[in-house]
Amino acid sequence: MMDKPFIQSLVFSRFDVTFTSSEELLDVHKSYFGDAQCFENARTYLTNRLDFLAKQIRRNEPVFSSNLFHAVLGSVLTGEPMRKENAKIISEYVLGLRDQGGFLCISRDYVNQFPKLRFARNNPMVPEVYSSYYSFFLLKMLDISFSRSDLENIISWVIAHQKNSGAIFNSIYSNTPEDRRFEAEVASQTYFGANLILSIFRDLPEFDLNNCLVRAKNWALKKWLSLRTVAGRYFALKTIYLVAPDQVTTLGTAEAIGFLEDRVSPEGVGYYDYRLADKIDEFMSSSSSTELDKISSHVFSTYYAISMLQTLSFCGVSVNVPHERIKQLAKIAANPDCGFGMKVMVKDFREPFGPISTELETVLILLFPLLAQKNIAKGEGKQ
Amino acid sequence: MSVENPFGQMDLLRLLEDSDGLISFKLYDSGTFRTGATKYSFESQESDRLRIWPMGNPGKELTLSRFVPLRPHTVVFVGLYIGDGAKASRPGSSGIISFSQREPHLTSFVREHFIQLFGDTLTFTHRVNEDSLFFMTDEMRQKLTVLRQELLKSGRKDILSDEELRKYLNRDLESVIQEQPSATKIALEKHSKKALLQKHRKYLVEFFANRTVMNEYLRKLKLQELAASGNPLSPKDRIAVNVRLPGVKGAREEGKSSRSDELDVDGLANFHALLLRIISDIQSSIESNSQLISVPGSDTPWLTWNGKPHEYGVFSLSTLDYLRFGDKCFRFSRGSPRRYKCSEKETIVLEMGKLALKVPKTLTFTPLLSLFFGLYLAEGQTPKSKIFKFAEEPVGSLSIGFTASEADSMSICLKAMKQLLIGNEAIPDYWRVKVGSKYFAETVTIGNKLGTVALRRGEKGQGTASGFEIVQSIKEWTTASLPSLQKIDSKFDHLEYTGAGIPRVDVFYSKGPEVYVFSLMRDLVSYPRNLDRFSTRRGGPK
Repeated sequence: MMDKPFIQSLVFSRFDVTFTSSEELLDVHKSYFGDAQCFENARTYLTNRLDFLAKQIRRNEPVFSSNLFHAVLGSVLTGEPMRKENAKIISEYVLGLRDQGGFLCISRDYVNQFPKLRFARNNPMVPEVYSSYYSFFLLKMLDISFSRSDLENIISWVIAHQKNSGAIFNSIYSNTPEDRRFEAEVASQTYFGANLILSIFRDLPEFDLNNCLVRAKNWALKKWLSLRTVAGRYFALKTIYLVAPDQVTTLGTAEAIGFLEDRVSPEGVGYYDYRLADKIDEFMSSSSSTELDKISSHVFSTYYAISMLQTLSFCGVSVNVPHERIKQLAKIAANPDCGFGMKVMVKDFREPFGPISTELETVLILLFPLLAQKNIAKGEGKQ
Repeated sequence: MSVENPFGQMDLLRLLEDSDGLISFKLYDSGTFRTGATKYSFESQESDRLRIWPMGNPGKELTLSRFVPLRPHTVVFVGLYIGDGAKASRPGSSGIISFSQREPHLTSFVREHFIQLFGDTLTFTHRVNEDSLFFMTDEMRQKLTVLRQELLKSGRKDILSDEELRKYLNRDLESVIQEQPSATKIALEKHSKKALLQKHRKYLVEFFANRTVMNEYLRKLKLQELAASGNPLSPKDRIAVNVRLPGVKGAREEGKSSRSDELDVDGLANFHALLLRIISDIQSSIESNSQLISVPGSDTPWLTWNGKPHEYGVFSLSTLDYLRFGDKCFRFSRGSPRRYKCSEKETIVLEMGKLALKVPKTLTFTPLLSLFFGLYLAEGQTPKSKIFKFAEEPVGSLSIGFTASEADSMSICLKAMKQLLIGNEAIPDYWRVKVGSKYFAETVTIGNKLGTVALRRGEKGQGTASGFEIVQSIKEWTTASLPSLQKIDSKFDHLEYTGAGIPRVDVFYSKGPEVYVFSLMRDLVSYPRNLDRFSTRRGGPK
């Protein structure tokens, strides 16, 4: 049902790899990991999640579009056919998230659970850039077409949220000035916004959107050295690469490689997103005492780090992909629910802080062999 | 019957014998396991006395009672120490025994219980820590000037005269720093990159010039506060004041206080393990509603409650009489005392203004309730000074809000409120989660794992969080970490990003019961006779 070139383009633009078919992906898994275990686990997890999310929608329980996006993408990557009734209710639900030109991250019923409290009063549901990205591409994966006026509305809405700095985010609810926002938030939303603009731009060639894209890219170039997290740098690099791939060479590859080396986990398993030394206690405007804090490598940060290394190799830098580190991570990030993801632990709290397996990280494990074996020299790095 | 009657006892000799003198503890506090152990030597003496000393260090001997009664007061003390006591100990050191609290009724209460537990040979140091920025306003400078003159008149030689002060203030900072003790120089070097210290560097000369007078100001203030609470400084105790460099820790602006007070028990560090073992076993026995606690491997309990800690009590209060006639069971507002209007039906209905709530006719002081009172007096959202003043002067808004990051504390709070109140008011109105900036990295990681974003709000990025995927994830983490919240899952309100602190939960109750609940706490700690008068065994007020 899905348009193959569209899927290939989506997977490439978001995950930096060339996906051709689930059969080929399965073969790559077997040759890279030695068996199909990761692939099969990921298929089971993502299928279960998709069924669960669809069931939630049927029960009128609100679900997040980000979960849906990754679960639906998972069904495409693993070749697990999606049930027609699931596709129908998901597309209806996501179409219902439309608001102004963008999309909400979840149905308004979510905050309606908190009728009289501050949470609902102070959290007017507004569309965000990242959630608009997920909904737009999710609907396209589900073969929902957009009219010209729909596309114009989306474009206008994204452009309206580009700030003077070039960053793209919605400050209507989250009104914190840019310099106090989380860097991964601004970098990823700017990338998602630029990606939306570029994707729609192809359908509306008469619109002159270059200026917005160049400003987004300039924001990423300007912020590059100040970004302290792998996720922040990854999305900044993607924005630069998306708009002006040649300018990647201006970034200072030695510094970037050093930055990533500083975030290699000493246990030899993947990459950290941040260094403990970079944790800030804003109350004291200083580095925190991190004696009792815990840190772990993650699937997302390792994927992003390796993708960055691959992109930097586009500049002619020789890069050795740490295959053992990836394989170790895939092993220890495998969870009993068949999904993938590492725990986030805070001090001695017994429960992991937030979810362990996530749809995104399971998708990343699916795509890891493609990323690890990507050969820039063969031209896979060019869109 | 008296509220001071015991509802159980501890047998310290049994604890020591069954542990072969090796007393260990494991307490979960502020997201951290506090562990430690000390080996003690001991011998039983006549009249149920017990000599105990850290093994190999007989000079640190204490003589204790073998049997320690567990009274409501003892349990309140345990709750207070769980909330505000020093619990950390590093490997190789024994830790300190210290209680962080400014409210003088509470420090006096805790002091008294240290003496009951460890004997009257103890001495204490009342520590006052304040930021020097507190003094950097015209008003405070004037007060310091008045005090300086008084000190000079009294013959103090270490105080600068007007002329000396004027000259000192005109000196260059570097020469002033050179004269400081090495600890001060090290601290200045250590914090030199802090933006706040750089911002307030201009006050350093003034700080060094007036440091002694600032110390004296706080010492005098502490003496006045202790005296005003009816618990003047004991001749055996001392006050130690520490005024911090501006911008190093605490206050961020001139005139703002970041005062913290501590009560240190002098020379008792070797008994840290014993104290924390007592505290952790009392807490866990109450939380698990266990009547008997033994050392693992022993059949004989060393800690005994005479009944189940959630239900059993030796003192019951006639609530209606207490509320109608209790000495201070009212709040002072608009120039006069305001009491609840009480009507007796199946339960007692209290009214104050438009509010109406139900309370039990008889309130039994269980170990659970006593522990809650202690925990609340440490961890409650209400400024503690208000709890001891609301019947005497207007104190502004009063409400019940409790903070916890530990499952046990939260569970005890929710259960105790159900003993105090009947119906919906016994359930929190709402709860929220707060995450301090130190844990923003972990919070953002949740977003990265999900492929979503953490959104902040307001100029400083503190306040109600958006980014609902993360809000939802942290809500789920909270109900898994503090399972007692699962029953009130629907009362979740919001996630809040804040300056400092580990992820923690605040529960808030509807307005109405605060005067009733705070009167009970205050009277149990400071005026137990106010409660004894209304014991149900005595047949009404005397």
